Amino acid sequence: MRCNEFQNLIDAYLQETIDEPRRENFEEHFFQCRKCFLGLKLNEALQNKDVRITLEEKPRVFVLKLFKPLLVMSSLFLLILFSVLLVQQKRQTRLLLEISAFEIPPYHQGELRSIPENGAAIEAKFSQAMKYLQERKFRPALNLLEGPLMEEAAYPKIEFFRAICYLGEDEAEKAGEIFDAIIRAMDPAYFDDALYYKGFVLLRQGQKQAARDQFEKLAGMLSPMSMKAGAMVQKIEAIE
Amino acid sequence: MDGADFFEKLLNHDPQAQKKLIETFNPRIFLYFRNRIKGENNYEDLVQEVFSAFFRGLDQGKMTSVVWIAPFLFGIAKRVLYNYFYKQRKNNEIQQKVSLVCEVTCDFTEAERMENQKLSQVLNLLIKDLPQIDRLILNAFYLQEKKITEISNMINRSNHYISVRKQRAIKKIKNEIFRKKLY
Repeated sequence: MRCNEFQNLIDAYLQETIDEPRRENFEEHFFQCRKCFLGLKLNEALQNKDVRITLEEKPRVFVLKLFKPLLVMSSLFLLILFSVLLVQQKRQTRLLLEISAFEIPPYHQGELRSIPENGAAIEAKFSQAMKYLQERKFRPALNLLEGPLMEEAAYPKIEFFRAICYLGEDEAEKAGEIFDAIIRAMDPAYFDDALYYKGFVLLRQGQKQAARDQFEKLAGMLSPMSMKAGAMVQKIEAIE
Repeated sequence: MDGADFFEKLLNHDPQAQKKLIETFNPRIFLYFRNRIKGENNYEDLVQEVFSAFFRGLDQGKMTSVVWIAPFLFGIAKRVLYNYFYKQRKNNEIQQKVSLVCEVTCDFTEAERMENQKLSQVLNLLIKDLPQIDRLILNAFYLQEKKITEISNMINRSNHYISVRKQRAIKKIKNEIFRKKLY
């Protein structure tokens, strides 16, 4: 006898309406099948009224019934709120990324020729690097600017453009270190530019407020970069 | 303990294995006799007869594997039942004490009563967790002894719905008992 057939015969067995051949098969089955025997025992216990079957709802069920809609509503609200915040955060990040796109600073040719040793070779390499830079090919430009000849020259102009390359390569930290060194040295040729581009470093690092302060400081200075810095302040304020 | 190990222990008269076997089959044998013999309150002697015949058969090598235990016990129970009716007519009493062939001393009737009591407690506990509709159906069917048709009219559902819900409720309880290892 199969278990499902057994289940269907339980009531008949307990009420003794089962026929003899099936009764014997039924009995043989419950001797062998633990699960079916338990089913039979449960039915027997219920039929003998050995159990209490209360119809009242449990208190906790009532509480759940009451709070379930509230729970669902609040979960839904939190979900929507979270989604809105996430969308807003993504939008802010996108806008921040947009305004942190910087223009390549201008440069003057021939200046490096005046370096006493290997001036001409350095100038040639630097010019090549600048060509790459205009095409926004930051890595090849950086490779040239970090070559042995260039490092030995240790010229502020080279350092500044190296920092621009790092900024273009999204290595904001390295760029920031170089700009900080230029700012500390207060080289008049690149001081303002370093301050300006340091603002982009901060933007790339997600420090919106610090970037705004940086641009604002520069905008208030008597500097050729103050106009540009003021424009950046306005752009940052627009996304706030 | 796997089947072969259990059978080996039974052959070696291990009291733990004998106890486990009695615990497993005692309720089944009781239920069998209770359904077959009406108007009898004491099945102790019959159950003892079954177990003593089983242990004697085991010693005589009538079983070779654990899979034969249940059919063998059922066969013995059938024979004991036949003898009971036959000897009752001759006004004889069945007297075969299981303690002669088994290490375990047991009051089978009390053990079965305790077993039933335990099952009722478990059932009481689990029934509370059923949905109200299931409890309503079980209450009407078993306690108020209403027919399926009456219950279906009462709650405005089909007979099939009531029947299926009743079976599923019991199945749910059964699964819960196995899951929580309550039986």
